[in-house]
Amino acid sequence: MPDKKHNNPAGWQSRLEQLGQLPGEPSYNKGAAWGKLYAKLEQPKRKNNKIWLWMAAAAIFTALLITIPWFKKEYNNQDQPVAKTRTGAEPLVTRELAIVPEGHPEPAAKGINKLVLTKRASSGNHQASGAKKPNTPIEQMELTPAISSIRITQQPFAANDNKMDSPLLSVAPIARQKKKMAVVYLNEIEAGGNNLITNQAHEKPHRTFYPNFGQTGADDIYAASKPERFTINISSAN
Amino acid sequence: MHLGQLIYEAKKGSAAAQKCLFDEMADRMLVTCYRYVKNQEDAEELMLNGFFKFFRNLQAFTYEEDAALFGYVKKIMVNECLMFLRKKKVFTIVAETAAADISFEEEALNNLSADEILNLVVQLPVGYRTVFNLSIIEGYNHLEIAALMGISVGTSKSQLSKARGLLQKLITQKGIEYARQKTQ
Repeated sequence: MPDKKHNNPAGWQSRLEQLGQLPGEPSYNKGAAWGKLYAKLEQPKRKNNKIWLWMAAAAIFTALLITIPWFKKEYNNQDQPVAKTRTGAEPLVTRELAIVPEGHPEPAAKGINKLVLTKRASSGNHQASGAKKPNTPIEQMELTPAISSIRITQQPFAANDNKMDSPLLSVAPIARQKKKMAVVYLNEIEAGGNNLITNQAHEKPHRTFYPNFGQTGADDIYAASKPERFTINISSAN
Repeated sequence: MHLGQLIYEAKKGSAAAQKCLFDEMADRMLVTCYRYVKNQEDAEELMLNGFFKFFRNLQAFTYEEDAALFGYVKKIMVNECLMFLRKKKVFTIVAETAAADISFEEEALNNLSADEILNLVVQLPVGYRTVFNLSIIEGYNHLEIAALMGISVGTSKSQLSKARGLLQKLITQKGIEYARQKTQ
């Protein structure tokens, strides 16, 4: 064995074993060293705290085992409405939230929170170049003209009314009313109902010229149905 | 008193027997610790820690002979020293290729006293010294040294070879000085 070949050259081990004290160093105080050691030995043995650590770990594990299903249940029930009680001292808060499309010229009224909806067009360059997508979420929303404002109203709450125990926070969408247009029939116009404003009233009068030719039968019928329509017959003076 | 009797008394809790055991072994164990740490204060501290462990676990020890008792206590001391050196992170030994084996000149070694040998050993760098102590003095093989120090077997061999080379150089210098002194 190669290790054995050079082991213990010329009895180094035996010579060092015989060495009783450190050469060139001041001799140490053996009595003082024993005093230190004895004081250390006299101290009571430290109790093994491992059992307590294991017990604590087991208790934590048990607690987790019990609570995890409960939390899971709570998480599943989050979709259902939860009634919350409110103290009566809280004041009534009414806030109006107006949803304004981006680029809308009209500023939000004072006291109304303005929520600007941004519609970002998806660019195909990102995918083509393999570049990373921006971190900001792209929200694509089409704003329905009918619902352009949402009023968030917190209903009044009676301080001493114990019956009211719901949060009473409701979101009431206020739909803008469509402008109703009157339905006008052709016969009503003929009857002289010109007080009605219709789109037809703004139209330019249509005039048809038939030089040297008489009216066709179809034109007569059409002219009779349209009072503002004029038919001019131009005939030669001769 | 016989060491076996002292061990028996110490196991029963006799402080006097413990003191006798300490007095009997302390000097040699201090030299052992000094070989590793090269500092008397640290060596004393490590020796006391080693004896504390020995007396605390004395019930597990079964006395057979004096040499076995000394070997057992010495092993505790060596482990204490290695733990101390490991805590100080002095074993940052870079793996090196094994150097060629260097043999000592027997004549030069015979002229050296125990004190001189100890002085030569403690002059070695900490890595060389630890491997040299474990291999040459304690008799561990390279596999054991590698496990104790957390190094590879190749590194252990390399460190030992380099330690031998350095010692050879130091011994040669000593021999020249010795020859000069003799001629003068």
